[in-house]
Amino acid sequence: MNAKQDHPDKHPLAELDRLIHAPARLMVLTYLYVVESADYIFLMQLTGLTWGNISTHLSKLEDAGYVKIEKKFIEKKSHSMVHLTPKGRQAFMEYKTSMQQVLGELPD
Amino acid sequence: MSEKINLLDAERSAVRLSTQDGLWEILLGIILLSLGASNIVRDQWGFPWIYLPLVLVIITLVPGMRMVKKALTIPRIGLVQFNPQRKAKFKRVNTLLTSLVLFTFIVILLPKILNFGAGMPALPYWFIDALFGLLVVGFFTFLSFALETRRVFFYGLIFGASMPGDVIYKQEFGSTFPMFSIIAGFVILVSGIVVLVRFLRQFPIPETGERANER
Repeated sequence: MNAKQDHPDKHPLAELDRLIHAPARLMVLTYLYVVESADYIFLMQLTGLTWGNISTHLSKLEDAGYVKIEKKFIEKKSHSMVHLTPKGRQAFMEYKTSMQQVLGELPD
Repeated sequence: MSEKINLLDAERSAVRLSTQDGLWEILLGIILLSLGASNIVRDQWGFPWIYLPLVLVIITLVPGMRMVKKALTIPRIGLVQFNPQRKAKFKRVNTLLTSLVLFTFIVILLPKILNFGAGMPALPYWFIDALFGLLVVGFFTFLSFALETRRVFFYGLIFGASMPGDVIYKQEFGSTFPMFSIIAGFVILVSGIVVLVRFLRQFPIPETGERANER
């Protein structure tokens, strides 16, 4: 998002990455940020999302280059392991910094 | 969104989810029961057979638990690989635990084996077992910290107390029956079964689980 370059005075909320800002995707990215990789079922159980939901959100994140889905054989069984890409990790950190800045500036 | 994104809590949730199937406790409980059985075997058949129950448990149960984990746990909660920082934490705990075991061996057992300090006042009969008990409590405290599971600490307390407990019981009542090891093993085993049942109820196999992994 290049909003800041176009409008330097824009509020930080306007700069938030909307792909990450959706609660379901934010949850998925939060968990992927703290682990190396996880499969669909693990993410489903942690987030409480259904298979359909998680699949849709992961597809969007994969299209944006934020996550990578790889088929791995673990103990002779195929598992689709999802992990955060460096681009996704950076986008998540930027989002976190922006949110902390926005929330930190709010009066009590 | 009014809450901060707490990454540490997220990581703890992931660790807890991966270790709450109770299988680990069941294994520990059976190992403790087998240690108790070792004492009975020693009294009946003599020293070389003392390790038989423990060896049998390790040979059969450790691979058995892996199979059960594959059959029960993975289809329910899936798979996770932790990040290098968490792996480093596990490694630090392992190093610390190995150092503790080596320290105990060098400082406590080796002088005893080599009969150092002969002529010095004798230690109380429960001393060595109490030290081992403390070592066990220390081991489980670190494990509890690494697994983010508080109940592991209490298992350590029960396990650790059973060691001098058996020695004191033998000394005071003249019975070699490993009462405290058996009680400790039983308590941990039953706790593990309760945790497993709760886990199976809480995490049914997701309907789309297979498809999820066949994407």
